[in-house]
Amino acid sequence: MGNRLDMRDVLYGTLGLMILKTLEALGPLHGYRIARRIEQISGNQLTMNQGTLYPALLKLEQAGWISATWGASESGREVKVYALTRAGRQQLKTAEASWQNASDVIGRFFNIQEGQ
Amino acid sequence: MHAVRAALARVFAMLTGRDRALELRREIDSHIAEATEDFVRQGLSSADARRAALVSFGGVAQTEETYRDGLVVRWMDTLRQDLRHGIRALVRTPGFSLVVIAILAIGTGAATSVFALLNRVVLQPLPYPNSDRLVAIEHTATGLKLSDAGSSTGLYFHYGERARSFESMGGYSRTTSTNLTLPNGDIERVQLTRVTASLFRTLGIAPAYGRLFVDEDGAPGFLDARWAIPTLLAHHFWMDRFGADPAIVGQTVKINDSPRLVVGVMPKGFAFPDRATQIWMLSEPPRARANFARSFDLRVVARLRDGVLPNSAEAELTQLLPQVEGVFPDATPERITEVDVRPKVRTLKSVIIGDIAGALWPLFGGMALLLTMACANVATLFTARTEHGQRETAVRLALGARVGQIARSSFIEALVLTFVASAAGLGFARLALATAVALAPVALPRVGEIQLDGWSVGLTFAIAVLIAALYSLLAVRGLSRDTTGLAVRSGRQLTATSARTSQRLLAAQVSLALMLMVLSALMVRTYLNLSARPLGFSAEGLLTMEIGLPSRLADRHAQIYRDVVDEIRRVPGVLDAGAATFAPLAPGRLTFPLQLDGSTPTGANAPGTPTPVAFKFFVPGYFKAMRTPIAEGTGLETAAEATTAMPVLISAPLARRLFGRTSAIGQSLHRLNEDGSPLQMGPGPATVPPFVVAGVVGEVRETSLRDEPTEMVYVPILEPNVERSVVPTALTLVVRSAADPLALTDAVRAAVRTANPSLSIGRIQDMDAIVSAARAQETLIGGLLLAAALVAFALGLVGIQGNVAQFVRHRTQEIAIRLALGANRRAVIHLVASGAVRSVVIGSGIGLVAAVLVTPLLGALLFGVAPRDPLALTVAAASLLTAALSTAWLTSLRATMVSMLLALRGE
Repeated sequence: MGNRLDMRDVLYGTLGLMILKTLEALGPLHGYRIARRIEQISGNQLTMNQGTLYPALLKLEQAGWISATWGASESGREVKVYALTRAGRQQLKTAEASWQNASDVIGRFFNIQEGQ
Repeated sequence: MHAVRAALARVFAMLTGRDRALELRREIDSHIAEATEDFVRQGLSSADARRAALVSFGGVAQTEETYRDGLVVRWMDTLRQDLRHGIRALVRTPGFSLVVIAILAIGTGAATSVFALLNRVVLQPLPYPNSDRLVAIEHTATGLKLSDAGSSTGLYFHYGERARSFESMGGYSRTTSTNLTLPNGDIERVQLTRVTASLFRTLGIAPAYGRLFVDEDGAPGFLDARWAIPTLLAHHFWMDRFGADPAIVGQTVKINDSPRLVVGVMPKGFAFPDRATQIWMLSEPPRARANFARSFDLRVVARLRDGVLPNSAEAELTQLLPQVEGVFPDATPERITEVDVRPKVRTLKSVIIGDIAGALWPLFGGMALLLTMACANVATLFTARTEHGQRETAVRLALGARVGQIARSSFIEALVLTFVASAAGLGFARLALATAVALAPVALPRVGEIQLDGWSVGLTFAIAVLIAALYSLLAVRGLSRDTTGLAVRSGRQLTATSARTSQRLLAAQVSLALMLMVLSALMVRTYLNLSARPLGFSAEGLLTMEIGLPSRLADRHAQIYRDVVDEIRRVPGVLDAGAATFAPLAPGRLTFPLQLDGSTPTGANAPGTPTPVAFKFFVPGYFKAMRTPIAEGTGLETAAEATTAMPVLISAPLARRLFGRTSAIGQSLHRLNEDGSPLQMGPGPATVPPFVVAGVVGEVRETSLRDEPTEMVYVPILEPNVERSVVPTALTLVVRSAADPLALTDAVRAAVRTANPSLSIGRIQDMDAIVSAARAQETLIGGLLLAAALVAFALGLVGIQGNVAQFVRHRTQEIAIRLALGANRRAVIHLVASGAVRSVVIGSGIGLVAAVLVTPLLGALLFGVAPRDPLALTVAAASLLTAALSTAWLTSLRATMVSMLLALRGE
C-alpha cells in the first residue's frame, strides 16, 4: 500500500514535505505564515497558489502527521494553528533521508553527463 | 498504514458531523486578511492589497472543492457506485440472486431462530439484577423419598438465622387456583402464588406501581380485624382484568371471600416462578409453628453474598444442618437420622431452565451445521459466477481498476445480496419463533422472554458480512493469481484436490439431509398417528371454561352447578352443555383414586383386593355435550335417568376388566379402604353403600393421546350426593356450539353470572386447543426437524448443481471436443453427472447408517412407529435419491448444452 503514487500524490508529497520541514524549523504556524515561509525559503522563486496549501494540510492532518487547533495570529486574528506531531517528526525524518538519497542519485546522473 | 488512518479520520469526521467546510471558509478569510495586511504594509492601497492577496491565494472556490474532495465526497461516491453496481448485479441475474437469497435466508433464519431460543432461555442471565448470585436452596430427603424438594419451614428459618453465605432469602409455595372477586363484583378463577415478604427483595425487582411487601406487612396484625393481607398483581393480569388502571393500588379485592389489599403491580414481563401466576399474596410461615421435616413444600430463593459460590454456600448449610437438633419440636436426633436430609444449593437459573439446555444445544449445533453448508453452497455459486464474470473484471482491470477496488466492489455486491437474505432470514426467524412459542410445551421455561433480541439480529448481520467477505476474498484470490489479461483463462484445470473436497462436501450434505429426513419422517408419522387417535369425543365447536365455587356454598353445590348448566343451555347458539371436574386431555387435574372391590364374577381380582381407579364428577348432560357414545345402559343425561340409588357410569375398559362379557349394568361396586377393609360411613360401623353401575361410557382418552382409554368411574353430581367424601369446588364447563365456540365466551360468562354471581370464571379455551396442546411436544420437535430436513434437502440439491457446474466449468473444452467428435450425448451427460451421482450414492449410504444409529434417540417421542421404521427409511431414501439423481441429470443436460455453446463461442 502506498508504493504507487499518482502525480497528485507526488505534488502533495513534495508540498507536504515542505510544510512538515517548515513546521519543524519554526514550530506551530498558521496557514498564511506557512505559505509565506515556503515562498521566502525558495527565494520567492516558487510562487504557488497559496490555496493549494489547504488540501495538503488536510491530508497531513488526516495522516496524523500534523495537528490543528484554533488560535490567534500576531495581529490577533482567529486562525488555525498547525503543529508537527511525533508521527509527523518521524515521517519527516524518513522522508528527508529518502529525498536526500534520491536527489543524490539524480545529482550523480547530472555530474556524469557533464563529465563526458 | 497512513491510508487506513486517513480513511478512519474521514469516517470519524463524517460521524462527528464537524463542519470542516465551514472551518475552511473561516481559515481562508483569515488567510486573505493577513495577506492583505502584509501588502498594505508594503505600501499598497487597501483595495489593491486585497486584490493582490486574492491573486496570490488562487481560486478560493477551487481550493474549497479540492478540500471537500479530500474530506468525504470521493469516499462516498465510490460507495454509492459500488452499491449501485451491486443492486444492478442483483437485478440483472434474478435467478441467481433469488437462489442465493433463499438459501441464505433459510440458513440464517434457521440458525438465528434456534440461537434466539438458546440465547434467551439458556445463555441470557435471569432478568434480575446480579442474577448470577441468585440460588435455589433445595433438599434431598432420602428417608422421605424426596429429591429436588423444597425446604421445610424450620430449615428456612434455621438457615435464615445462621447462614452467612446469603445476603437475603425468600420463599414461595406452589401456585394454586383460587377465586378472586374484583372490585366490580366479577369473580375470576386465578392462579395465585404465596410468597414471603423477602422474596421480591431477594430477587431485586421493583414494582411498576405501588410497593412491594414489607416485613411490617407480616407483623402480627392477624388479630386486627381491619388488617387485610397484601397482594401484588401480575402486569398482564392487571392489563387484562383491571384495565391497566393504576388506581387499583390501595383497593381491596376478595380472595375466597376474604378481603385482600392490592399494594402494587409488578413490572411488565415479571414472571415468577412462571407465566401462570396472576397474583402474589403475602404468606409468612409462622416462626412459632415451624417444623423440621413435616413437609418440604416451601421453595427457597437466596441471594449469595458477593464472592460466595453456590458450592461453598452448600457446604455451609450442610455444616449448619445438624445444629437444627432441638431448635424445632420435631428435630429429634432420631427424626434427623430417619429423614436423612441434605441441602442442595444450585443457581436459580439452572433450576429454572432445567434440562432444556440439553435439547437446545444439539439443535443449535445442527442448525449451525446447516448454515455452514448453506454458506459453502453459496460460495460455490459465487465462485461460479466470479469465473463467468471474469471477462468483465478483466476489462475493468485493463481500464486501470486496482485489485483493491475490485475486491471492494465485489464485497459490496455480495453484501447487498447477503443483507437482503439476512433481512428475509430475520423475518423467517420471527415467524419460526412465534410458532415455536405458540407450540411450546407448557413447561418450557422462560418462554415469555423468548424474542429476537439485539444478539440474534447482530449475529444474523455478522454472518451476512462474513459471507460477503468470504466471497470477495474468493474473487480477489482468483485475480491475484493471474495477470490482468489472463484472468479469463485462469483456473481451467480442476485440481484433483478441489474436486475431492467438493465431492466430500456434497456427500456430507446428502447424508445429513437423509438423516434429517428419516428423523422428520418418523416424527411426521408420530404426529399423524397421534392425530388419528379416536378421542372418544368430538373436539370441534366445544368451549371449555373453568368455574370455581366459594367453599361457603359447598353444601349446595349440586343445585348450583345444575342451575349454571341449565342457564347456559338457554344461551342462543348453544347446542348442548355439561360440566365435569376436568376436560379430557387437560393436564394437571388429578383426582384421588377410588378403591373398588375387585371381587367380580370373572374373578379378575381376588376378593377384597382394592383396585385404585380414578374418578371424575360430571353434571348430567356432559356426555351428550361431549358427543361421547354410551356403550350400554344410560348416559345419565338428566337426573330423571337415575333409576337406582348411588348410580355411576364406568368406562368401557373398566367394565371389560371387572365384568368381562357379562353386562355391567346393575352391578355393584363396593368401596374399600386402602388396606382392603370395607369403607365405613363416619365413625359408625355402617359401610358406605356400593355404587350401582347405570351405564358404560365408550372409550375416552382422558389423560393423554398416547395412553389407552382410561379406566374411570364417572360420578354424577345429583341430589342426594352419590359421593360424599369430597365436594368438587371447581368444574370445567363444556359448551357445544354450532359455530366458533370462542364467540360464545361472553354470553356463557353472562349466563354463569346470572345463574350464580358468586362463581369464579377462568381458563377459557376451546377443546381444539386442549387437543393440540396434548401433542404440542411432538408438533414442536417434528416441526423443527421437518424444517431442518427441508432445508438440508434443498441445500443438497443446490450442492449437486454446484458440483456439476464446477465440473463443467473446468472441462468445457473437453466436453465440446467430445461432442464435436460425435460422442453420444447421453455418454457425455453421464460423464458430467458421474461425480455428483457417486457423491449422492455414498452420502445416502452414510446417511442411512447414521439415521439407523441416531433414530433410537427419538425413542420415547415416537408413537405407533418403530425407530427403524422401514417405511420411513425407504420413503426418505427413495425421495432423496429420486430428487438428487434427477437434479444431477437435468443440471448435467443443461450444462452440457450451455458449455458447448460457450466453448464454440469462446475459445
